[in-house]
Amino acid sequence: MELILKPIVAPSEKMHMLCSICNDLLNQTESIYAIKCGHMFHHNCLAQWIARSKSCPQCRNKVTEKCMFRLYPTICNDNTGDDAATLQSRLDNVQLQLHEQKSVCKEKEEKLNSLKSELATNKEMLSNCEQRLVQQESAIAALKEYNNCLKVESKKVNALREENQNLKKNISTMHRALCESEAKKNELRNRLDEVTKMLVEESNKLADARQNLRSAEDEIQEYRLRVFQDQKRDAAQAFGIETENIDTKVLKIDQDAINLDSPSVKTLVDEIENSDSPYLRLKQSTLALAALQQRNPPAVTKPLKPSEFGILKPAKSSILKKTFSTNTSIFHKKMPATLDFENKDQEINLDVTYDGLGGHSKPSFFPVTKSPKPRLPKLTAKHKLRRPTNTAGSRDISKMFEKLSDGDS
Amino acid sequence: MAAMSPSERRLQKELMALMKEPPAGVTVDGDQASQNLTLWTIHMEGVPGTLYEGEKFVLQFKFTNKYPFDSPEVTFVGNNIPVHPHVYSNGHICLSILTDDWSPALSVQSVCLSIVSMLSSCKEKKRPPDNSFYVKTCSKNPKKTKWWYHGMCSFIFFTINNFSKSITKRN
Repeated sequence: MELILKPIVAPSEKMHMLCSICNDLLNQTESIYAIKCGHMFHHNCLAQWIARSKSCPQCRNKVTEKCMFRLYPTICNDNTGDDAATLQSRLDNVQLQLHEQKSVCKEKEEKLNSLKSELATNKEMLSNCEQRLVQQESAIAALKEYNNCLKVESKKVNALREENQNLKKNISTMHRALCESEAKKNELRNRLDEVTKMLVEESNKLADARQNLRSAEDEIQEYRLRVFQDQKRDAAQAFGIETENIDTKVLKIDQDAINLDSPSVKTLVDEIENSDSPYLRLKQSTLALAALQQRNPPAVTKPLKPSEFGILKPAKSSILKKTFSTNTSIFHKKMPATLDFENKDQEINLDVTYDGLGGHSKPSFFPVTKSPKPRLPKLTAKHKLRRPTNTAGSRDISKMFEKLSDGDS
Repeated sequence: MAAMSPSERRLQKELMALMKEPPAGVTVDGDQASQNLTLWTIHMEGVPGTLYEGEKFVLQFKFTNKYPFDSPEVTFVGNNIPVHPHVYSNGHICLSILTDDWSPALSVQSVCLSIVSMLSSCKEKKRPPDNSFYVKTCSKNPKKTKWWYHGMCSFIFFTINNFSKSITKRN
């Protein structure tokens, strides 16, 4: 085969055979196959192609298993130097590898650059973030401090609020109290006004009543004068008229005078006379009795017993004098009662200290009101008339009181 | 990278050879091809003295990992697709060496020379008679077309076959 192949290439050049399927050199290490048309290929390449098409890749002649055979070329191994073709193919390979490596390197460099730029941007972002973080931390610290301040202030405000509420409550209570006092004041004022009005009315009434009284008294005076004149005339005309008649007349006139008084006064007098109060024992005092008898003179209507008379007469005489000298009405000007020791007997002078109908003042030395314990049997007019000797005179009574008071003291 | 497959090795070698010694009127886009060895773009110029003189065409080669046992998928792309009885308006080429008559001994360079010779041998610029029908019904991949090489095409086939034979002989 070498003999056949040799004339194809130039004698000066070494032989470098190519497999036209893979475009690689045909080496002795690999199995080389030839077809009967003379074309050589790697066995691997040829087998792959024969599986697809049973034709020669180069000349399209028919190929069968029989017409394929292996070649065993003998290759000289002198290392005197590589010829241009092998060097060229090696160069090609190296260049190819270089090219590949370069492209890879380019890719890597690009990647590196992009990563570097990314890193730079990330660094920038990091620094920005750090700055922001620092700022925000400081801001947070400031806010915390501010928050603490606010808390303290809010506590203060709360305390003040509570105080304020308490003060408000106080104010409201005070206001209420003020209102109440104001209302009370107004009420009292109104009441005062009413009372003053009533007082004025009463005073007016009193003035009217006084006027009435005065006019009545004037009339009484007139009557008295007239009576006096009549008496004088009668005395002049008929000396023989008894004093008792005159007395009766005078009494009558007196009665008239009393009757002339206002009915209210009369009823009041009656009440006082008939009262059971221990403070107004008019019926026990001889003076009062005398007054009573004067008003309802028993001496005229009924014959008096000698004991009664004994009590009555001096009293009567004293009262009579009084009635003539002053006015008989108890509401007339109240003059302090005076004891007339000259005309009276010694037996009754103690009881005639005050006009019983004129006032309620009592002698300080007579503690009748203070010690009402020794209740004496009440003396009505009837009672007295039936058993006139029961008390045995005012003297005995006074003695009894003295004894009781001594016992008390 | 160290462990390249046989197809990659061969494509790399072909690319280097084509870049180093390109045939007349044929230039390969080396950067794009080195980026992706399975997709090449080749610029082609009309051969002077032919109907396509001064025209520029773009060929696209798609390789599978079974190259060179599988033929590449070759189509005209771009705006200018040559008006030729065996070139459809969608860029598909009716050429027997691209399908049935493919041989692993053929290379990108030999395919380019075949197409240049095909264009150069054209006597009349016209589309294939069934162009519109084919363009409507065909698949995207021209290899999936069951080509029926009619009289005109068979004539061309023989001429190309002879042409490629002469090329191999010259190599």
